Amino acid sequence: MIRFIKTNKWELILSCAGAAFLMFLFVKARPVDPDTHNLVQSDFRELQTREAELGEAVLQIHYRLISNYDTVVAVMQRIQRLGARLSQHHQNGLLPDTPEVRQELIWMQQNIEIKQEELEQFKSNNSVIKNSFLSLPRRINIILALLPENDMLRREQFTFLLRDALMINVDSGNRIRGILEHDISKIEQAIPGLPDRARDSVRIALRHAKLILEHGNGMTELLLRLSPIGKKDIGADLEQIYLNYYQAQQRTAFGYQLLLFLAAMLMLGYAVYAYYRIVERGQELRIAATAFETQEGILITGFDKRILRVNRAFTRLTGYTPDEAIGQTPDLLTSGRHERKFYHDMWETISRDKYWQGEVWSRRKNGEIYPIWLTTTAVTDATGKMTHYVSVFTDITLRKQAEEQIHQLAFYDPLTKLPNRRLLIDRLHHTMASGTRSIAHSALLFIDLDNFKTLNDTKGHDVGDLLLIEAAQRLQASVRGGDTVARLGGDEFVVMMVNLSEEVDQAAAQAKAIGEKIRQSLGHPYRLRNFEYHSSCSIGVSLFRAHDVSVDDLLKRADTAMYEAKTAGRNTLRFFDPAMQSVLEARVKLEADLRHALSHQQFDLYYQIQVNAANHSIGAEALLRWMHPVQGLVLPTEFIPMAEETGLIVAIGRWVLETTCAQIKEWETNPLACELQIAVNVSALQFHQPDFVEQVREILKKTGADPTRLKLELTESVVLDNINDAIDKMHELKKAGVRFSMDDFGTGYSSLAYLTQLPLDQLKIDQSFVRNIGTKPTDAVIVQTIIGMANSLGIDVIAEGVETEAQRVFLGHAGCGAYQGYLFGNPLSLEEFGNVVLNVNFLRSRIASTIGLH
Amino acid sequence: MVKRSYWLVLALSGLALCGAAYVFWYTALAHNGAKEDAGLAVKPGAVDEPVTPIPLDLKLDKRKVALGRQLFHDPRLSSGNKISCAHCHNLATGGVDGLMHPIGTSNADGEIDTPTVFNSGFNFRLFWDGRAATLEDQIDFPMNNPCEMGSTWDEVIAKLRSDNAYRRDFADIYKENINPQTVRDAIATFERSLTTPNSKFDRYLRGDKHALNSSELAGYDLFKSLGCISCHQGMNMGGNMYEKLGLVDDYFRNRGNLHKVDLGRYNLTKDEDDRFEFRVPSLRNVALTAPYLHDASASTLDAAVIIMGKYQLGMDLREEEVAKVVKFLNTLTGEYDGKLLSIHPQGGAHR
Repeated sequence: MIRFIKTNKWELILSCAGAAFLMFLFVKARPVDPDTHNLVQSDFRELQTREAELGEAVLQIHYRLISNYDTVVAVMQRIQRLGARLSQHHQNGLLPDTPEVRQELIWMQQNIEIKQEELEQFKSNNSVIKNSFLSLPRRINIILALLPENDMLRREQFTFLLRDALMINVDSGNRIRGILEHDISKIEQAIPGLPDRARDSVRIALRHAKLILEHGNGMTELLLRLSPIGKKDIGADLEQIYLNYYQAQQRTAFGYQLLLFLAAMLMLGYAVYAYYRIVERGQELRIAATAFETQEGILITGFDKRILRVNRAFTRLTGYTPDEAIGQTPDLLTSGRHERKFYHDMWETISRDKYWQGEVWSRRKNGEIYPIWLTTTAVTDATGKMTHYVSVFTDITLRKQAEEQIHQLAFYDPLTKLPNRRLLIDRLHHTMASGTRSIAHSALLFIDLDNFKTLNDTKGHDVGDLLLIEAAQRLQASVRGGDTVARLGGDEFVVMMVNLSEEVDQAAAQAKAIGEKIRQSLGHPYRLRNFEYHSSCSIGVSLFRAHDVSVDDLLKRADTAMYEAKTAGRNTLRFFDPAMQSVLEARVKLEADLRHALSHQQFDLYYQIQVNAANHSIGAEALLRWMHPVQGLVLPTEFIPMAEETGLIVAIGRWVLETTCAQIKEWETNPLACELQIAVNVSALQFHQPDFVEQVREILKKTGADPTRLKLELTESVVLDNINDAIDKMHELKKAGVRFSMDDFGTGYSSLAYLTQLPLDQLKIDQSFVRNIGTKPTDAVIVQTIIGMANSLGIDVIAEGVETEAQRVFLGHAGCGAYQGYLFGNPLSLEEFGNVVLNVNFLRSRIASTIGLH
Repeated sequence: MVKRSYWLVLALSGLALCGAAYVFWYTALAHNGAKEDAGLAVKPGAVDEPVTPIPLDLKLDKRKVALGRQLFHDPRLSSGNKISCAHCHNLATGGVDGLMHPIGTSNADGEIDTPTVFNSGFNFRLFWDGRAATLEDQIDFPMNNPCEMGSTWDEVIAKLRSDNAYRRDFADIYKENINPQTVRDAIATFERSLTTPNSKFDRYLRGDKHALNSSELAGYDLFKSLGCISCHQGMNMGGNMYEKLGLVDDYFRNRGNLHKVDLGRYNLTKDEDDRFEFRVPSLRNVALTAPYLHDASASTLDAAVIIMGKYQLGMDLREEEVAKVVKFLNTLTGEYDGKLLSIHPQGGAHR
């Protein structure tokens, strides 16, 4: 309340002043109270009336119409009282207090007093005269009775006396008075001549006559003076002054009435204006109220962040009724999904910019969390201080869903749910960008369903769609996890394969493999509605790596390749690069040749010497070579992966073992070679054969070789595939006396813990480390570490790929016990090996020349 | 927001109401000042009769009359607490003290014969020289006169205020309580109530032809024909005019011993014409108010009548004339409190 007064104090002061002013006008505008005015007026009039009454009463008394003075006394008293009342009126302010008025009042009082005196005079005179007029005739009668009848003179005197005395009654003028005086003096003179008994009566008669003379004198004047006729009434002037004053007052009052009326009209005008303003305001309020009740949720909080008002939409969206929400803070709606910093930043922005907009996760009353688009605006007062916050929000769940849908539609084919062209290109860009970091190849396969149009035309589009859906599913089933299957449109599909081999050939082979898989998969019959349908596809392949080509070109290439496939007769796969194609074909041929290689006895074993620190030969590694009738010597790097892929490695590996064991047996009798341990590489596929152990035993038995002369070389990855199985097999074979060596040690993913579990006899330091001994200090450290560890664990260690003396020296210092490499000998055929090993001198000179060369 | 304008409207209405109330009260007050008693002191009766009967009931405020009676008989109105109004204006003895001169508080003689308090409300002025216009004004004179009550208003008011009974009584009637105006008003109201209607003569005037016997009637006729009626007229049979004592003959020269009071109205007006002029006394209850004339020189009615006849009418009245007039004058005794006025056998005893 106090605050209300403070904030509106000027308005309140103004209204109080206005009210006071109106009150003032109203008081001043009061006309002279009509009752009071009438009272004063009636007093004035009554004064005049009574004056007239007085005059009349006096005359009536004089003419003996009234025989007592009570009335006239009462009238006089009334006149006196009226005079006093008028003076009282003056004192009460009903008559103006001017010197004029005061003077008039004094005169009025004086006139009243004079009148009173005159009345008293009249009364006493009148009584006397009346009496004497009654008495004199009687007295004269008595006198006449006493006088002699004949004394006519004297008798006449007394008659005249009586007559003249009576005349005074009519006319008290000087002439009559003179006559009476004369009569009286005449009789007075005659008294001595009168008889004694008459003298007293005469004296009395004379006395009466004198009384009549005395008191009759001025009676007329008195009567005139007491009569109001021809004279100005007592208080007439005063009355006039009063009337003037009264009228002046009335005029003033009227003037104020006018002012009051004007003020009232002004106020009325203002009221009408204010009314229309209010109507207008009401309109605005209505608009605001309508705006408030929009579909968007609105909540208004005070500066203390307590909710003041919410609209219906708020309740609809949040589930909270106004009663539940008002008084709470917006914390009521927090979802818990945002960090405190989020809200902190929001309020900071509002403080600074008076505005914040963004997506917020909110919570409904029932606990459901949903996304809203929130706009908060701060309301400031005239001084710029924030007084309220208006928050408007919409539920964007549907919008988000729509966005998702749009995304879907934008990036996915609605029919097959596969990524569409746009998404594919996006991913291609991605792959190319990431390709700069790795040198793995990726492949793009364009797959076109053969004769799709025919199906559409014959069986209808519905059936065609069914085929497409089925094809899409088969495609997805044919690819690996990281690959993308997309539908370009119509009956065109694309497969993007990533992370293929770094080697282009191998990558091509991988791509072909998958491609073939796809072709076959898609070639299986389809059950469409009620009939079976056989389809085939044409596939175009394009390899790429990083930004070899642009996306457009890549697509074009794949398309071209596909077209090639179509041209080639459909239901086939073609690579974009013809060279690629021929390479592939060569590979295919080679693969075919490989299958025959074994049966055609094209394989051969070469041997590389292994020496110890004292330069004595301690063993040799058996290395496979393929003597291709056309291509000549084919290195293992070229055919081993192929062999592993095709599974031929098992047979080949078996042959290797057999041949090696046979050779061991043969060298038994050679004194230089009988001590040598021959190491044989075993492939993963081979090793993981369930009957591998049996195989080895069988071969050993068959060949009769000394198991202790056989050393099997396994790579880390071979062992790690199934370490327990490996351990078991190793133990088994070790029982037979076979030795084990870990090949390419340091390049695999094994942990050192496994190392200790395996019954290894030897570690072979990978040649990549040895090669870098002089150049890369870290590799040198690794070498030292491996040697140190192997020595500590009691495992032999041999370094591969030793080519320089410096390397040998370093290895020697590190404690390496055995070496293998060009420094000591290349892989040689059996014949050459026999010459070398069996020729100690050759070996020495070989070392020297190696040193000299390097 | 709406609530705030409610407050404003309420505040303004309140102010307006206050203002209106004030204005009304103010105008009402103005009214009060204007009202006044507009009645005439005496309502004239049959205007052609020389004498009119006393009204039977003046309708005065009974409470004021009772209070006035108390005050009238209260000696505390005098300085010695011995003299009350009733001391000289004894109701039991015709409203007079029966003495030639009143004896006042200092035991000194008063100067002039005490006029009766009965019917004094009908006199146009009070005192032999008419110096008081109303009964209210009259009270001040005996109260302040050292030869009479010898007190002051301050003294009297103080004494009255110390009396709880008076305070209560005054509070009942007058909102101004005890002050000179209210005391005067109470006493005067009581005095006005002292009317004596229903005298034999009044009954005759009212129409009862048998109220007067033949000699009384003859006396009335004489009263009129001799001219006594010229001055002793009106309701109070006098008391409404001034007249000179010694119209026909010089009363004072014959009497001698001129006293200041003998100058009459001259003492007030200093007008030679007013020398020896006195207020004409009322003849009502005249049988009870001996001695007569201002100087109390007539101890019997007969003597008074003879003096009046000689000096005012210029007649030597015969014995049988005097007797008739006196017989008539005795019919002027009225009733007070329903009882015919009379004098106690003791005569002029003073309390």
